[in-house]
Amino acid sequence: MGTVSADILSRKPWFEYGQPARLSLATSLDSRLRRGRALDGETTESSDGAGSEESHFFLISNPESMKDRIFVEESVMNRLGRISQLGLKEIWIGRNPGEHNRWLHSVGAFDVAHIWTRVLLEDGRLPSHWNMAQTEDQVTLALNALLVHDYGHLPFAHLTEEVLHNLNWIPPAPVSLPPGLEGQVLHFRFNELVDESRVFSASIGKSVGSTNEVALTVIESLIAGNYGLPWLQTVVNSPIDADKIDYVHFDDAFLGKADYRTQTRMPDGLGWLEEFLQDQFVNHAGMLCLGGRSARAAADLWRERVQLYDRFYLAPDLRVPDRIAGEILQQGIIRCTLSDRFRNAILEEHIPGLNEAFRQIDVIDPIGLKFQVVSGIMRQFASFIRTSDRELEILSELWKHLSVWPSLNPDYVALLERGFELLEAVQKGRPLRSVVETSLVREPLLLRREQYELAVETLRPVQHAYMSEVLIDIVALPTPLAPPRRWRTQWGGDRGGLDYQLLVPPGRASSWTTGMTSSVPLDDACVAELDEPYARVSVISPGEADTSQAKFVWDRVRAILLEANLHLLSPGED
Amino acid sequence: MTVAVKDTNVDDVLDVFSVFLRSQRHLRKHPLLVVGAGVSKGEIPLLADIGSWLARRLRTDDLSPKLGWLVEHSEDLARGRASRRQVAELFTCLQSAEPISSGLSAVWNEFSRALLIDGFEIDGQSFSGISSARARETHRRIASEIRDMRCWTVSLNFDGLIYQALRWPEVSSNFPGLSLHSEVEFEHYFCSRAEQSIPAVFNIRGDVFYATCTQPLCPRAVQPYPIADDSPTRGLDPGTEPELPDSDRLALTFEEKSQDGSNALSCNLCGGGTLSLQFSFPGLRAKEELAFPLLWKLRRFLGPSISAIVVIGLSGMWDRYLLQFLFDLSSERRIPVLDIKPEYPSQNPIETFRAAHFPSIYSRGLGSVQPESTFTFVSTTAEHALPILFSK
Repeated sequence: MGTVSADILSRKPWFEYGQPARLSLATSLDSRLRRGRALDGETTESSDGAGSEESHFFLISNPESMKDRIFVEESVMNRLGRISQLGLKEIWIGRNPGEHNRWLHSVGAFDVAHIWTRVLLEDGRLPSHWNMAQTEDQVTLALNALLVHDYGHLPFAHLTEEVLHNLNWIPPAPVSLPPGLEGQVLHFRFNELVDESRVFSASIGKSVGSTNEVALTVIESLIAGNYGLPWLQTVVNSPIDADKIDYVHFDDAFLGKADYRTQTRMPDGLGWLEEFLQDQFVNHAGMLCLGGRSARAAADLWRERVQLYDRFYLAPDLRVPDRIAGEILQQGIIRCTLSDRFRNAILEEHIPGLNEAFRQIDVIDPIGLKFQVVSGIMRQFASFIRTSDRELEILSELWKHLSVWPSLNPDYVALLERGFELLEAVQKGRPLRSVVETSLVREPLLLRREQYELAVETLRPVQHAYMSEVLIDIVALPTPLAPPRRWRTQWGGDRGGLDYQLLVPPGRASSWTTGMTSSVPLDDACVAELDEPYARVSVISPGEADTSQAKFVWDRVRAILLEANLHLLSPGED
Repeated sequence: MTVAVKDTNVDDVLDVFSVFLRSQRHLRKHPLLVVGAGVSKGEIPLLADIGSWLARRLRTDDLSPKLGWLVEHSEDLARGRASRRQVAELFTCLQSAEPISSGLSAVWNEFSRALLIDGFEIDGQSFSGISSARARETHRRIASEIRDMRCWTVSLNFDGLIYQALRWPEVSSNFPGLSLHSEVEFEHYFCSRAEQSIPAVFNIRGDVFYATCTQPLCPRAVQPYPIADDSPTRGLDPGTEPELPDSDRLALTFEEKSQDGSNALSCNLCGGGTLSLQFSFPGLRAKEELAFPLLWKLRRFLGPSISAIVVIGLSGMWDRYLLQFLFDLSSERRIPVLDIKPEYPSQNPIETFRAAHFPSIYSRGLGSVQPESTFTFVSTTAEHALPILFSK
């Protein structure tokens, strides 16, 4: 078994030991930590001996009930460990990007789901007449799904998806997969494991009395939000899934350490989880029913998530460096995809024969071809990561070639150069706020979320016209529930909307109290008051926000939005 | 062009679908059966049979020459040539609360009683009244799959025979199951805190008979009430005494004469009123307005739990709103549609609708079934198809 970077295993467990006995399932974490020490010491055999027989699997969980059931290939762990959870944001806020990576997050989500499902299983919260052996098998698959749910992620977190959306280079995904680049890469990588007879665990198939192929199909379906058993789907991908619980909790703590506090409603993760698990059960139809206490805790999670998006993930401060990095990435992706010479220059020197591999890609359609090339390039980029700078290393490599590329407009290159210098300065310790002050032109313009798409299309030609002066950034805050995309019906007027998959007390979230019983399906209307239904338009001129030209473009952007009948909101206007 | 699978290929196609349905069960997905009047053919009169009866009856009546079009519409209905407009005009006129002719009121009362209780004979085929109709093999097979939680079932039929089959001792020895008729009932079913599930048939307001009481103070004067599947003793073997799910259902009074001695049905709730039957005929706007919310409610609850749409015994001639809904669902969720009909019509209205409005849902022949939006038509009986579909 190969070695694993120590930072992957340095994360503190989601649940500390010595907590209330009814959450004694934290023993699984004990195993993980012991395993972590073994890896640090370069021991190749796991503490329970499982490693000797199937050395390429990495045993995570120790409880007897889970033994031989939860396996993840080491290559999966390594790949996930190289990708930052927050992309470049971790550098922007002055943290080491290795502190929070996709592997640590996956294990955190697994921990949450493990405890959650054990409580439901062992505390009589499931219909007693269900076949419990079969239910255990389904839970096994759900836990495996959480360990690999981010396996489709490539470097730069969601920035790559943003670039592809911006270019309209994302082909429609099969129904069984999560949409976008992430879903298709996930499918590609699963197939890769199957093709190489390295299905990530032979034991998964055995445990559900079926084949590995079926097990992988179920796992993909759970990740895509396309599984037919509502309560289990809720655990893996839903408005309150273990993934969200882990990243919201962890990011809160992470931001606190980075002096980027967000006044969390979930300061005590275990306390929150205890509250969340107090008052829930699964009804005859397989729907998870959240009673008053549980639903209130869920509402806190949704509030917290909305706040994180508003104040951190999509905050103007963080979007300034992200937008600059995104522009360099976008140029890199375009050149790599459309220019053999550029791709040769940037990739061939690292990976001989790569161009030939790209030529072998089947041409399904032009968009599909571009998409496959980008997907391939990004997977190769991931292998560039050698230092703790992670994605910034890739960005530096791209910039090195772009800055001297002859066919780029010199004024545009000058804009990118100013931007890249600022990114480097932030990495070297320059406060982010000073970079933002010199780059963000005036204040962001606020719109209603439903006008986001129109604003994007309205400003697309403006961005082209002023490409050498400014970068225009448009973001929409997500809805509080953020269900899997498959759950939402886009047509049907008032009748359409979210699939009914879990139950909550009646009324609005703010009126939920202890003692209320779940009786209505969760819908957007329940949490309407938690929503921040806005989109923001920012004009960014790296290092030159105060120039008359930058302010002129800001005025033009505002005027064009008004001309297009887009309603601009004043600060504080609802 | 209709792409259909006939004869020898039928079993192969059904077998392939069966494998697909089984594979989807790993994902805890089950087919949505949409059951039309065809499954009760021979037991319950179809619209064409009703048209024949009305044509014959109206011809014997001393109708005003101005109402001659009623006979023509009935005859067209009997021959399968009536348009939605004709059917809507015919039934609207016949069951109007303020009939344009007193004779029409008598015809409608007579028809209602014959359909529900007395039965009638048409073209050498006799039908017993709905109240004494018995579930057939197909109904029992569907009921059995519902009980085993291997399918979801939407019924458009007013005969209630699937619900009746759920109560047959060989299908279920415990609670008979549920027949749900409204949005509130659907929501209550899925949102219940109950631990033990009960099999249910979801009734969409299809070709359903509803009743209202003519006594203004009676609660039934306000809200039309479905009279379909509620006779608690109907179709049971002699000697069995099932639990009465709802003792105030209208079917209990079918045998009673109204107080004025006429053939009209009396209301057992107030005892003083006459029941006025309302047939939710094809083309009735109120029917479609009421059916759509029910379908949507079901769609949102079942969501990702549907593996395929299997249409059984539905002509597709009268229910464009339903076809629109089903193909939209198929298109959005990428689920295949299988249409099973005993005859092979020269023009399958469902296929015609698909080709005109949903060309992206392509017709498929043989080959493996994928979770994609496709349409397959097989020409066979439900009795033949269902055992193969659910054999795996």
